[in-house]
Amino acid sequence: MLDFIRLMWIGTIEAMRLNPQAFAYVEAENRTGTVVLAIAIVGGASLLLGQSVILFVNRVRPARFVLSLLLNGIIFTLSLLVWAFAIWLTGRILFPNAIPFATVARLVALGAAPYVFGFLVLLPYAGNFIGKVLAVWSFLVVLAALTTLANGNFGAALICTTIGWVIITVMSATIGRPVIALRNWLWKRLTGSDMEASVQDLLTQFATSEQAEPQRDKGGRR
Amino acid sequence: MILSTLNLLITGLILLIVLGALLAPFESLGWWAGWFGEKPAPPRPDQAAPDARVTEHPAQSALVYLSGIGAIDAASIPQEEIDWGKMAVKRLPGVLVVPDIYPYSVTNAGLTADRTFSKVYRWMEQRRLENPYDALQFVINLRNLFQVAVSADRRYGPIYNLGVANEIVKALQSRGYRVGSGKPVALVGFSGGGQVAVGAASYLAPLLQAPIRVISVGGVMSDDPGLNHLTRLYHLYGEADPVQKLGHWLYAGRWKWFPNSDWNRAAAAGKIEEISMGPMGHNGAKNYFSWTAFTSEGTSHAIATIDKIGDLLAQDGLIDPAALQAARAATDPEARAYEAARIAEAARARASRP
Repeated sequence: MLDFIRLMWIGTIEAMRLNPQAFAYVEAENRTGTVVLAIAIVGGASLLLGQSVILFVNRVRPARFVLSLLLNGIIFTLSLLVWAFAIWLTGRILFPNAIPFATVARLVALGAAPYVFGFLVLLPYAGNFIGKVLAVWSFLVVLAALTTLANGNFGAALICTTIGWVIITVMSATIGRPVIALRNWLWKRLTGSDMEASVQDLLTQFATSEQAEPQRDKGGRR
Repeated sequence: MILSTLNLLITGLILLIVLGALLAPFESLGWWAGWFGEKPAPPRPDQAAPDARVTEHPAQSALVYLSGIGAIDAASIPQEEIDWGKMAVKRLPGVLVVPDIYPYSVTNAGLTADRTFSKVYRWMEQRRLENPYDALQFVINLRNLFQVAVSADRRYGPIYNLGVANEIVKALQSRGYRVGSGKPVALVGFSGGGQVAVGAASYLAPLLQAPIRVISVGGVMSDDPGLNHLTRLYHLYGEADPVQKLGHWLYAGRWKWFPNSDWNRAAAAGKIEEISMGPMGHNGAKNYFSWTAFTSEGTSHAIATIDKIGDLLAQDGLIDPAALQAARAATDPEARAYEAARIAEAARARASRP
């Protein structure tokens, strides 16, 4: 167990260092899949811990709080896999190759490595900025990993990563809506909280009355 | 060997500070979620039945003091703020003063109350009583500084500021302020208390249904949405106070490049007035509460700060100018005597140093 954690740590740090040797190792060794999967789940859970204000606002109880973290880890990993699939498909069409999907999936999942430090998003005031840094870092990890996979062809990696991302975004807004609805339903069933409610939504009832409506409510939905 | 131990100590200290910052939001978040006790939700104070034992206070306005980050609880604040506050109450007649809010807790519970580390804080409080400049005050300052950051954070601030506003309303009510009376309320916040005051304004305006003003004394304030709910913000700053400038540097919404930020829109609307207090400092011998440092007019910093607040309240009609002048005349001899005593005390302390 300790060995496994040590491997996870090494994988996380080397991915964050954009180490081509680490990416090449993950590409070549199928057995790294479990470690990479664990990094992705921990990354997702850690990120939600960092963004846990939404769970507190919804008054999620401690046991469900832990469950939510685990569930977010799994949802996060699944979304990485969908992204990996879009990248793999783009690569197949634009740059014909025989790279198996599992290899692309392992390398894309390494993009979760910076999110292992997602709990730092908790930091008051600085947290939001750290969240943005981690998001950019994650993108860079995926880009660097795919560049290694494409034998140093940065252009091909950038095209696949970007088109893959565009496909996901377009799908989310169109044919992917039922999937997102299913995800939100599952989330609400397990955690008892709404995934997208804003802080202001929940506090508005308490804080304001019809006689004294705030002059402006930034970011809050009515 | 010594270097590696030193490295270990520094690393440990940094990790502890980061851990403290990470845990800082949990007090207010846990309070809201009911994790610490089974309270389902804080009650709306303006909808609670008024306490029949409290009669309405005749004052036409109220002033709530929110202390700086050196506070351990509402009563245990640095001695300089206590002395200053006592004189302020005397020199601001006809105003309902609420001095017992601990702005660094959503439940108004001081650090020595029922907490995990209350014993440690009691020990630190004891040390401060023996030596007001005890180095361990750094821990208290840091802990409270993190709570200021929680108040300023757009994710946590709505919950944190709600808790503080809730306590302010309860404290006002317990002193005879009638919610719905429309009597104006001024929040005087020193240092981090300035940020908490602005943050709490988001809720105080609708809860009290009264105009809310904030008088910041060297306040370190963010671009907080609470600015939209203020009638006025007066920022008193000392020319020798670099700490209050941190608010301007650290919070991007205060930079001029963001004209649509809450701060810049409030400033453009003329809601914010920045008032120089001359060469006053944030801490040390020349701070805003000092009895031993004097302005060029020969007034001690403590009195100059109180009188500036009095002038602003009179200017906005929250205090009767004639009563204000009378109170100043009546308390001037006491102020002079206090200044003389503190100067003598400081001289004795200097003389006793080896």
